[in-house]
Amino acid sequence: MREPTYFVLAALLRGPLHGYAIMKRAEELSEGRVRLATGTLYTALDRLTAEGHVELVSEERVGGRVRRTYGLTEGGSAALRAEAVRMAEAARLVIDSGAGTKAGIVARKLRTT
Amino acid sequence: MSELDVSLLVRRTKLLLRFYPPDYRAHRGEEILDTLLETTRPGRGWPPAREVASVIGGGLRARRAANLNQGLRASLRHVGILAAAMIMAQTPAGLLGTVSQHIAAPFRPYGLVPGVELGLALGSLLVVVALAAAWCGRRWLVAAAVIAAVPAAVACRLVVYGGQLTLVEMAVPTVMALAVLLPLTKHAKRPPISLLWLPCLPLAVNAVALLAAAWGLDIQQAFPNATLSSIVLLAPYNTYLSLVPVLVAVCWLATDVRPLAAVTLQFLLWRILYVAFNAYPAESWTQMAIVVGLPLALTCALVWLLRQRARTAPPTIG
Repeated sequence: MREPTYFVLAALLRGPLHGYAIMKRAEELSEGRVRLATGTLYTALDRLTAEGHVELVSEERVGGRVRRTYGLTEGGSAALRAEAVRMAEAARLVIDSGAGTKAGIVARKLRTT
Repeated sequence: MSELDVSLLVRRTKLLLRFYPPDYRAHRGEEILDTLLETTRPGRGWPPAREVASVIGGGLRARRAANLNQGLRASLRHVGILAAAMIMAQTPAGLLGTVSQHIAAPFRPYGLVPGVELGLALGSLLVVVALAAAWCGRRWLVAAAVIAAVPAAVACRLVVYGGQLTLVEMAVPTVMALAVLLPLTKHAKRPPISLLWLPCLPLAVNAVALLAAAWGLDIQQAFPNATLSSIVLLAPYNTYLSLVPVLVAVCWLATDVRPLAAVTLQFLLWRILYVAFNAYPAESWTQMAIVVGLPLALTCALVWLLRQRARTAPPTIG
């Protein structure tokens, strides 16, 4: 799963949102790292809807224009959690080995001498 | 932001949304417009550049997906049909080009008799009618238009080239194209009407050249230092103007591979036909191998690209 897709799904964890709110929430959750553009967002929503990860929850008219709200499906929620677990395991692999940290470098030196 | 500013922004944003295919716009247009307006700061006349780029990219992706939603097999069938339609349109288009060249420079080595323009106009019109009828599924209209267009085109050709035997060269491709187009009329999945521009473009381009020639402008110029051999080898793409449909088809690659694949396929079919009727002034087998091999390789590459795109196409909405 690509990072923008991950954050689109994560943005919907708390409840259904409309397009612009998804963009804002994804930016907020990723601490400004993922800034979705409109075209990218709707391409992702089309794909996620076709895959059954996202569903249309409601449709209303605001200022004369259609505003659709999207929510996470059970499948989408499961896929998001599976991805989070996969990333956590991948992160643990690095953190537990101590690679990159001072203690890890010292431990590796001791092992090799 | 004043109401005037908002309406200007809405108008411009709607213009931007035209990058999306009509079906998609009907389904999502208002929603995307709403989101784009929210991303635009008050007082600005256009959405941010980043948003504009993403809408253009998203629109092209949606168009590409919409062009592939009928599946690979149907896309390949469309390529074949378009190539046949182009072969059929090429005869009157080529003749229009010849007449415009003659008007612009009457010293060229062929003669025209009065009334040939009328025959050409009639032949071109009949070909356009046949193509439109095929696209609309009118079987008998296709047959009638082609049957009428063949003698019109052949008669013109005989007049233009002083009665030389060009009957086979003219009639065989048209009859072959008819064999492809007639079954199309009863098929449920015909190519979309939006693809009819491809076979009609060479006709339109040559009609413009004819009009320009009538005004004393020679815009149908051949490549510099072109020999008779190279002109025949590259026909019908042996003038700058004749490259217009190729260039448009190349630009179309951004959303659709079918037009360029049809152009290369019809070029290849013409080469095979020339070789079969020994009409090539090719100086060696190597030259002939290049002339046939290059369009063959290009057609195969485009079919591969079509397959790749069909595999990775995003879902279509609308």
